[in-house]
Amino acid sequence: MTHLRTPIRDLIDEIARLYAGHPVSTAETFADFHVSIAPPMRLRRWFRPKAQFLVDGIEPFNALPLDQALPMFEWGLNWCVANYANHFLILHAAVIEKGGRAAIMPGAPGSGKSTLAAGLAHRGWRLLSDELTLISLGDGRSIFGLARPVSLKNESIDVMRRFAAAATMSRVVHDTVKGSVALLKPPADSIARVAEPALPAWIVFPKYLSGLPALLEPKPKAAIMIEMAKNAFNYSVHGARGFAILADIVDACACYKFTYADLNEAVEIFDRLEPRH
Amino acid sequence: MHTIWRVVREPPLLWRAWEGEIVLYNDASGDTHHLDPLAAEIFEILLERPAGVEELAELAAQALGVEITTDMRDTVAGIVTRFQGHGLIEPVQE
Repeated sequence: MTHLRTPIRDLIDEIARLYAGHPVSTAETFADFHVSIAPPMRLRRWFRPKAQFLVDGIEPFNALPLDQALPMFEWGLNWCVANYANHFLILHAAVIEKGGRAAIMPGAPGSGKSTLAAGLAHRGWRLLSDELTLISLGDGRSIFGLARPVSLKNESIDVMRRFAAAATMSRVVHDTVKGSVALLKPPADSIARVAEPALPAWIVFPKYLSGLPALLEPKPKAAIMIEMAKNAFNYSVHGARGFAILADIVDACACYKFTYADLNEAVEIFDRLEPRH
Repeated sequence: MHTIWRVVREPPLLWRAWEGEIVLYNDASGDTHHLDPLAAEIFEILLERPAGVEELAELAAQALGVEITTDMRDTVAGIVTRFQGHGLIEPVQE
């Protein structure tokens, strides 16, 4: 649960559209994060309006132009989860689910994991997250997501406009540090089932490669394990327990690298995936 | 002097083997290491019993079905040095 305070009308309207379907509380009840997004209290706010992200009074990054308040909110929430939700082992990975089984998709920025997750979520898979895979420390297996909007960048925005024309998308915010950004609302089913965990079945390292047919190839598990450890935000916090959880997940999963250019081909291949157990 | 090496005991190392390779976690340093098939073989020999570089090279060559060469001895010596540098092995106290 996040408590947000902001005077920015445009941000309020966008969040109302993109988060419709999520539970909302207006009461001053417990919240995991108390976030404020507002123009900073400085004179220059009148010359070049900016927005400042604060969580529990901390400013984790510099103020951004006011029209970037929405992506800033999403990046800020990612920062909050990655830094404070240490009751999970947190991977920098998209995660989707079908039949109770999860496909974990780690990848560097620009690898195409968000676009792939968004595309699959609009063709029968459930979106848990395009950015943060949350693994329970309790059983070391159950994966949770937040069903938050998918952050689309640059060419991916038009790709998803064509692929899921009826989906709700924010306005495009240009000239951010990541280029042009738009946020895509997850399908209603993903939001309705947000509390439902999934068990890991596949680890897929995606890579968007223009002009080539989609290709799913096995990837050695030792290399996967190293990459997973590198992609974990709080692996070092959990030490030996983190290693054991990741190793068990790698053991349990079929491991692949995946290159794609066309989302329809990607969906066909993912729909043929079979869990190992 | 001919040094005999063994895997460190405290804190115990965690490892997992896949397809001839090993990924190993050292809780003392917080580091995770990827051992290729030769390094994995040497690590597994040292798990079974302490050994010196020469013996490790011979046993690893046998296990991998390759001829032992000067290059291989040098490679094994390099792996042992690397293991020691990462705190994965220690000399046996006589």
